[in-house]
This record gives sequence, structure tokens and C-alpha cells, in this order.
Amino acid sequence: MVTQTTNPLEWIQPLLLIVIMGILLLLLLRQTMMLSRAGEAYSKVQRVVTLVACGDKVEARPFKEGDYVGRVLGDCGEGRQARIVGIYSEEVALEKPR
Amino acid sequence: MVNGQDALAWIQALSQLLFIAFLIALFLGLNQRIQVYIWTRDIRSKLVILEGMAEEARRRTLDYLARNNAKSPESLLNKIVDFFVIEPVSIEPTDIIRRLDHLVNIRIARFREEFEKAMPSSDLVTRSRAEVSAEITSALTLIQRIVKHYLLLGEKTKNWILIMQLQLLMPQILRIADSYRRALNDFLAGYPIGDSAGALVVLKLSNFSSNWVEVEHDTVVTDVDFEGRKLILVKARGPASTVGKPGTAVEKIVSELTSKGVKPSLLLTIDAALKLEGEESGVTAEGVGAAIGDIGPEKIRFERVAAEHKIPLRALIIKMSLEEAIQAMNKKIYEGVEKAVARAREIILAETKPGDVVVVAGIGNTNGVGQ
Repeated sequence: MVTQTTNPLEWIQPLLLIVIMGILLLLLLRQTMMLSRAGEAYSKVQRVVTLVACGDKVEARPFKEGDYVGRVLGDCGEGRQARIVGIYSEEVALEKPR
Repeated sequence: MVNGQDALAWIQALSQLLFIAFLIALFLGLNQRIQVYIWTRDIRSKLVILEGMAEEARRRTLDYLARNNAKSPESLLNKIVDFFVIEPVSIEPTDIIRRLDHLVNIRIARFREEFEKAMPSSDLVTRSRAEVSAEITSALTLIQRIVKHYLLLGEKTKNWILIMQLQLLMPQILRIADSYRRALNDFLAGYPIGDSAGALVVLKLSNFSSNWVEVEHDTVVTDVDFEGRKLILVKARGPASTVGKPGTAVEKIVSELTSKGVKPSLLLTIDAALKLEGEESGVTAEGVGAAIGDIGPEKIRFERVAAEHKIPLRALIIKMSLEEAIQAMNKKIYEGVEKAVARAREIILAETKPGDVVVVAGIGNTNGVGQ
């Protein structure tokens, strides 16, 4: 009578192969996802602010086409002139669509 | 019917066979081929992004030209994109600056002429923005072409070191290209950019003077009194997108002053400067020399005129990254400008006395900064 002995280590080799294949598939998936995200990473939203001064008072408002630093916007009362004294951008976090 | 033991034996035999085959393939360079394949695939994917950026820049520039009634915008853009300047011979350095200056002047004149011919009804600001957007399109197209060239060359010659280097450089190349892409939007919108910091400091030092006069090509000058000193302020003519010729202008101003027997006590140059990674943006620093990032002809004029008349040549910089320098000025840089104004006043007060004449040059592109 032939007795069959089952060695538990016999399954290690195929098991290792499966694990390695799994890791390779995961790495491939990760790389594909990274590449698809590469384009998206470059699309942050910025808000541009114009600083308008009237005497000592400075107010910030959204940038309008034609604004530039030094531009005189006209009288702002008491014989003073409103002038653009600064323009700068701020990054705004994008809201995720619900 | 195959039982469990038989299946196991087959799997073992197959895996051993695969292992031997793999081992032999390793000696034949399979690992390198797989690696090169992965690198090539990665470069190709990023090249698609670069091509998209170049195409988008081209489309936006053509759109801007068409909106401003440019004549045959397509042929104009093609001409600018493929335009090149051959560097002067450098193994014989005698008069290299004069030759380089001459070539730069020809390039500026050619571009100006082309845009004047194509957009005769547009104003200077519109034309300058069209010019810059065409230059950005040219830069993005060039980046894309160079990457493609090295990729194809690497594949053709099976040079895996070339492909590896290109793959390692790709994130950096993509970052630079993206800066240009964003810069295009900011230039066309007319926002002051990070590089406008020097011009903005000078405008603020002038207290928004209204007496600016053109002293040199696209370069304006005004003078104001500050604590008993006469400040002669120089910047590029805004709000057009131009850097002017500050070195030539300062040379001319100093020559005129010295011919009248007046010697400036200080020559202060203010510019945006590239920070090192890890440094804070908008930080100011001062030093000695000409703070100007041109290829040579303008910078050397500052040095020559300062050395000739023994005028202290001082530099004040506002630190920023390459991306910040060519994109819309952010709040940190703007705060840096305010600090630089205060620092420039401190330098003038500390190093000159009442009655002195001080020449201050605000270097950089003056997009969105008027006078």
C-alpha cells in the first residue's frame, strides 16, 4: 500500500508566485493611477486680488480686466484719487463635487 | 481526471521551468529591457501631457491673436515658434558682449516689427502680450520637441542610460513646462508676475510719480525727493510685458549726470532672484553687484558704469522659485515687495547723505505694473 505524505511546504512555491504576481499587478495599477493623476495635479484655482488705495485707506477687490498697478481709477472723495497699489494672487482650495 | 497531486506536480514543474527561463533571460538582459520598457512607457505618457500643453498654448495664442485682429496669425506664430538666435563665438571673447548685444537687439527689433506688421491697430500692451504668449508657446514646443528627440534617440540607439536620465528628469521637465503653461494665462490676463517685483518696488519708491519719461527703449525714468536725497528711479515701461534696457538707461543717466559734474553716491539694483529649495519665498536679501538676470549685455553696463565712476553698486533681491517668478505675483512675494521698499529706504538713508543723488533700478518684467 502506498501512503501519500502531504508536505505543507509544497504549496509555498505556487503561493509565492501568486503573491509576486499580485504585487506586480498592484504596482502596475499604481503607476497607471499616478499617470492619470499627473495632469490633474496641475489645475489649482487661483483668485487674483486688486488693492485700491484712497488716501491711507486700502481696499481689496477681485481683479478686473484692465487693472494694473499704478492705474488711477478716479476721484474717491475729498479731492483724493483712487489708485491701484497692488495686485496679487491667492490659491483657493477646490471644492469637491458632491 | 487530474487529481490534486498531479496538478501540484505540474505547477511545480512549470514554475521551475519558468524560473530557469527567467534566470537565463536575466543574463541576456531581460531585466534591463523590462526596465527600459517601463521607463519608455512613463516618458511617452508624460510626453503626451507636454504635447497637450504645447498645443493648448498654441491654441490660446492663436485665439488671442485672432481676437486682436492679427493678420495671418498662424504664419506669424509659426515664424516665432521656430525663430532662433545663434550664440556668438565664445572661444574668441574679445567684444563678445557687443556682438551678443547686437544679436539681442536684432531679435527684439525683428519680433517688434513682425507684431507691428501683423497687429497695426493694437496698442503696445496688447502687442507685448501677444509677443510673450508666442514666446511661451515657442518654449513649450521646444521642450516637447527636445524630450521627443531624446526619447526617440534613446530607443533608436538602444541607449538605456539616455532613457533612464530622461525618465528621471521628467518630473522636473513637467514642472517647468507647467509653470510656462500657467504663466501664459497670467501674462494674457495682465497680472503682475513674480519677476515684476523689482519694477513694483521702484514704482512704490516713486510714490506713484506721474513724471515718468522714456529714456531708452521701453525704459522709463523719474526722479523724486527722499529725505533730502534725489532718487533717480528706472524701470521698464509698463503695464506692457517688457524688461526694457535698464543697463543702457542707467549708463546713459550716469553719463549725463557726470558730464554735469554730478556723481551719484549710490547705484542700487532691485530684482527678483531664484531661491534655493527650502528657502522661504518673499524674503529679501542685500548684497553687492548688479542684481539683474540677463544674459550679459545689460548687467555688464551696470558693472562698467559703476566701476568707471567708482559708484557703490548695491543689490537688493526678493527671493522666489522659478514658478513664482513667471506666474501671477502671490501674496508672499507681494509682502516681500513691501519689505524690499522699506529695506531700500534703509539702505539709501544709511549709505548716502542729504543732497546726494541715488540711482535705483527696478529690474524685471513689468507686466501689469504701470507708472
